[in-house]
Amino acid sequence: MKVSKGYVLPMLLIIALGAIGFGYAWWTEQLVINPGTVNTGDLNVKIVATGTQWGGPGMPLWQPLYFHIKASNVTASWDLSKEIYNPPCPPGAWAGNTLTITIGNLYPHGYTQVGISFPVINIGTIPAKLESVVLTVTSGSELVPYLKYYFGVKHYSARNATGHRTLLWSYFTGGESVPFKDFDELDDELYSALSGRVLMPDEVFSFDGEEGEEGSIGFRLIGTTPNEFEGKSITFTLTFNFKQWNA
Amino acid sequence: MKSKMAALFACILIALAVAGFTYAWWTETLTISGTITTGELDVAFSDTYLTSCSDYMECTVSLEDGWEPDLSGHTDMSKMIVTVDNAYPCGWCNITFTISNVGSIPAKFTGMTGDVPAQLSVTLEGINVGDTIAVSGSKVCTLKIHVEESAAESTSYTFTLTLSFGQFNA
Repeated sequence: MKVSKGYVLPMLLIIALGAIGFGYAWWTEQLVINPGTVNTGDLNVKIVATGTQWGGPGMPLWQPLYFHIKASNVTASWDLSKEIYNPPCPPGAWAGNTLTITIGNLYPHGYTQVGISFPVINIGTIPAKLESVVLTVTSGSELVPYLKYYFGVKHYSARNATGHRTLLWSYFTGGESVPFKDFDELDDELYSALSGRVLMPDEVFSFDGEEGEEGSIGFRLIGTTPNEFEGKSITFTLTFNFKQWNA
Repeated sequence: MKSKMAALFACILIALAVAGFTYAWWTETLTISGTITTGELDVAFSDTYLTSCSDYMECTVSLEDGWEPDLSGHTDMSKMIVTVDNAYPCGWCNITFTISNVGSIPAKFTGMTGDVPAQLSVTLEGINVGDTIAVSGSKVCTLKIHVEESAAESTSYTFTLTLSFGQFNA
């Protein structure tokens, strides 16, 4: 009995060593995936301020940012925030998220209207689509019932090998020949018109009007605007929210 | 005197007996000359692979020779480099590749470990722990990379995966 007890410890040691030896005995092999790198793209849609450059007959390469004023004595100015200098467009241009327009001395008349043309360009690397358009009147809302709008927008392709764009699609609310629409419906119609479109990198939503066409986003006061609204101002924000194309 | 003579005689007899004893045994030698050559546990990526991605995303793959000594003299592509560009949330890339057993012992897949950032989801399909790849056999696998919603724009995320194999009878 004493002898068998004496063998217990050595046997355990042997078993332990055997187990260690057993573990080391197995061969192993490894394959590695290293490095795996995922570089995310850039969702970047901007309003671009630039001069006129034509990409072909009737095809603006870079639609300029400018006003259409069909009235005398009406003043208008614009300011575009500068988030990006020298975007991928002509030298001297810049791109921003916020376009501020100021229209002064507007008065009611059937043909008195002011519109602004501007391009919205996907300068990122990921296709974008419109998520929402929000119109917020921050002051002077009493003018809303008397203010009307129209707009026209065109969807241009990215530049081709020769640097030209092609017209893919267009939408017009109608200009002088069609009654202007109620101002407070502007965001809904913009969204309705553009929500199904995917703006690919370098493509353009251009709010513009060629010769003989109505375009841009324009405003006018209806002829029955009461005298009490003389000298009044309305301030509003029109926000275009874009999201990645597959959201 | 008689006893001395007897002792001397006895010694001589003993010496002779010893000498006679030694010479008396015949000898024969059997030799077993053994050579044991061990096998090679070796798996590698095959040089053909396919990639497919969400629209506008791009994926490139390259293979490199591993760091292990190459016992058989063949190219041992045991390192895969994956690069996905222009990724965006909910975008994906699949890389279909083949793992070949280029050794001489069946290899058993023992698991995958890795370091993957939270902004990515990376899974391997086509092979399960315990699967054995026969000698000269192969397994077609798909590495699925999915970009999570938390991924930031214009950012680079890096992951590392290690596919471990053991001998089939382990």
